[in-house]
Amino acid sequence: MINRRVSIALCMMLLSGAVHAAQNGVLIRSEILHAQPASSSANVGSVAKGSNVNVLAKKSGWIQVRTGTKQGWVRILSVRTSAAFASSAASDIAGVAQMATGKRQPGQIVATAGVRGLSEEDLKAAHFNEQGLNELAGYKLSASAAQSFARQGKLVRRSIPYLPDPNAAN
Amino acid sequence: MKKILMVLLATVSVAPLANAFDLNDLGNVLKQFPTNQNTTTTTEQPASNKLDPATVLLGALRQNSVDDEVQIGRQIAGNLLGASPLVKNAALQHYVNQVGRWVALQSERPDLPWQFGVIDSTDINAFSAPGGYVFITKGLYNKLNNESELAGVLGHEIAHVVRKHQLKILQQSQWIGLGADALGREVKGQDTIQNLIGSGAEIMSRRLDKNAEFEADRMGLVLAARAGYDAYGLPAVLEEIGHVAPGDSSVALLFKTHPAPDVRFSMLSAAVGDRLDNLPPGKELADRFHRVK
Repeated sequence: MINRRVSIALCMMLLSGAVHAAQNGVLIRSEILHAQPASSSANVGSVAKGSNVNVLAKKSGWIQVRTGTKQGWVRILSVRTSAAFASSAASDIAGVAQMATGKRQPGQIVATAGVRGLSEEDLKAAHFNEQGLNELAGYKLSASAAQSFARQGKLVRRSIPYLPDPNAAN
Repeated sequence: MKKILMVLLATVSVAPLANAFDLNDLGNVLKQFPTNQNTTTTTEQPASNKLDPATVLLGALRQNSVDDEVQIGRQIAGNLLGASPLVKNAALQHYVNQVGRWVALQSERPDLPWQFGVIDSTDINAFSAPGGYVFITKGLYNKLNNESELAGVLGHEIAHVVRKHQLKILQQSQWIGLGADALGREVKGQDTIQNLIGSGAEIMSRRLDKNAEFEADRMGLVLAARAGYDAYGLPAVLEEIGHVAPGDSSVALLFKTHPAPDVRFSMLSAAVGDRLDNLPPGKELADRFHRVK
């Protein structure tokens, strides 16, 4: 159970760009350990599905892990991490503050002033909000505006096919 | 995250439905839809000027008719905004539209009237409605760390729209046809759509077939990557959501309507495999991410 101090410390580490050595993970598939975050780099061992690892770093699609004496990089989607690696600060603190008021039980409704619910009942009772739709329409953008935004962020369009369904019969 | 529909209470009374919308075999449902018909759109009404919801829906499902689809989506979106209005933050809404529109441009339906909004709810969820309406709750938005994660979430919702998942679930609706023959589009078009959608925004609490969600995850990841973002934003969000206590009310609806986050992560892992090994790194753009706290 995270306490508030730990959470704030984590947030501060995050904001300072520090690497979290505290995070653990588990391999959801067997993997080769690579020396570098690239499949072309040297094979420095292997790690079996189900292995518990310490997470050392992450880098664009790769995650550096240590298990026992072995250390290396594996694909980031091969590791399920056990705790928030980089939660956004303020929302996390708010969450911790709520947790500090007592553990929630499954199914317990937490009443918070000003919260707009989106439960099944709330949705069922919803009334058409035309003004809201007009407001929404006011933010609608053209394709060229979006392209300009992408250029500002140096986002480069890439041609990537959709991924096949791994469970589909070939 | 997710899709869906809603509406204010229609004037008709609707029988409570226990599991009317649980689709366990979307694949078979899909085969029932016309996909390549060069039929005229439903804007050409018969001389009687009568319109029935089923006709509207079929029109919306046709490849060449976007009008009905957008009208259905507008009704649904308007009702969602009735349950939870937009966050009053123009800079935030503009930013989300910039990211969303750019990601949507990478899809097969770049020219839909895409509109994106952050709704004022602490719940952790996202929704979409036919025709290009996409919403993310403030609760989920505040869990994001960078622009690539936002792109992944929006990509998932965009995929639902592109694949017309919501329209296909509507096709299962037992409500279709209620009160239809008394309605004409000119006068009561909105009522027609309401009858089609049923009771309130309740339809938003129905789940799609799990394979539709897995497909939206796979497509969302790719759409964000096509847009130049780091491809791993969506799985990072799934991990983040997976760390929320299952009993937490903020994820109750999300967990009811979607497969568990760790299952979704594993499915993405299996789908990606080594396919993206040689993809040059994309951008996370944490520095540009519009934070609202």
